[in-house]
Amino acid sequence: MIAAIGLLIGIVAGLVLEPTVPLWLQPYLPIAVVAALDAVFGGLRAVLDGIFDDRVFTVSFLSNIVVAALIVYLGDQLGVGSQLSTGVVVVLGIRIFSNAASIRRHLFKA
Amino acid sequence: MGAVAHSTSGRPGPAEATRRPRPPDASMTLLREVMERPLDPGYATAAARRARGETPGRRAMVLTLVLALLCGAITARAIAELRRPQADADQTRSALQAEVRRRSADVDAQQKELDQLRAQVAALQARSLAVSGDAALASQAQLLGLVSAENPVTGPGLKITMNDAASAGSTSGSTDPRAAGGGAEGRVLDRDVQIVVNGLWAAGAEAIAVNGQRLTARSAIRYAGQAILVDFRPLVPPYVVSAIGDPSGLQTRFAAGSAGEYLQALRDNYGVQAAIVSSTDLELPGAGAFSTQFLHARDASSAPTSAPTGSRGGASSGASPSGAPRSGSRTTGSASSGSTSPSPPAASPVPTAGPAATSPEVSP
Repeated sequence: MIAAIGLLIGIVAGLVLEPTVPLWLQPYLPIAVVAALDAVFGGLRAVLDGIFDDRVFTVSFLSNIVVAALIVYLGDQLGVGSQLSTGVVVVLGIRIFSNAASIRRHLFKA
Repeated sequence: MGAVAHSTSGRPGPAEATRRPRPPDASMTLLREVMERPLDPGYATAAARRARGETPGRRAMVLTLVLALLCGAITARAIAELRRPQADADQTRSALQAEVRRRSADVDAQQKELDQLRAQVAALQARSLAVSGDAALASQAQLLGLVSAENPVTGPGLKITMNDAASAGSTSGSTDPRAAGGGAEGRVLDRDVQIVVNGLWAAGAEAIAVNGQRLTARSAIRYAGQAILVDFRPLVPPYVVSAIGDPSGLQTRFAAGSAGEYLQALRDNYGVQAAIVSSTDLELPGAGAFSTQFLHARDASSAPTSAPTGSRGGASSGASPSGAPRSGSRTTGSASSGSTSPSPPAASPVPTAGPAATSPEVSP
């Protein structure tokens, strides 16, 4: 609960305050957003499963973003940035899909 | 491989006996992990902890809140940033665009100024000739100004419009010819324009302009990249060749000549769009004065007045109105020297038949 409230306030703050994103962080934004989406879907599913936990949600959210960005950074340094980005997107996409499927099963019983 | 080697090397140990049977997809644990356990196992652990009655402390709650705030802000900011068009590339692009526009405007302004100055020069020349009272000289200057393409001309004539075939893809129409590659078959090439122009000269045209570029004795029709250049100015299709002369005679002679045949073959075989329209009132711009230089060895036996091109040169130059070049090893004629119009200026020879599929300059 507290995590959801914090997240909402954070989103509003991010939109209102418009902090500038440093240029060197720009390449990692897309992958960070996908990672955040994955965490959000995982959290939603946990809510429906009845095992949601603020701390796990927040930590997984943050670590998802950081690890995804780190992988892309590493890929950039090794010269395989786009390939690693694709890999990360594929894995996160599969996770998002299966989480979304179980959310769907919860909601529509189908 | 390692497992097989291990099991055959020694006697069966207790560890081997108690080992669980391998699942059939053991080599794909990564995929299974991804597909079957998309939910963070932490949730289950936390649920178990809660079930045991453990509750997070106050500090953990605050930390969670702060982290959640941070996550929300990061995500919102990232999305906002991504939804904005690429600022940097955009900026560079628009700067370049503005630069191109500015330079084009500069060129246009200078062209306009040049035209004005040319008109002034022509007016002054006409006045001084009128003052001098030499009617023959005045008419000669006017004639030479016309045939050397120095002055703008108007009159009846022919208009030949050529365009790339419709099948030449995105390059047809009035798009930028430099934008796209490919589709060379139905394209209008520099050679096509050359042949049409030469055919018009041969048919008796007195003045020719291509897309508003007046052709002079020194004009070149060339290919650069995908664009046809006339006097180093790129043209955009459709290519309009305007020729001044007796419209009916011009059209008949052009159609009868090899250039007419060539154009017909282009139309039939390659789908190049070509239309010949006679017009009673064409207006061609002037190309302005230009000068040519001739160098030749001083020959004691030859008289200085017998310089190869000197007899035609210098009509519009104030220094030598009679057309006689200065004696010496170096003769500088002005405006109309070397002009032989209305006979065709020496350009590339006209092939008798066979449309050009590719131009030698652009053959890959």
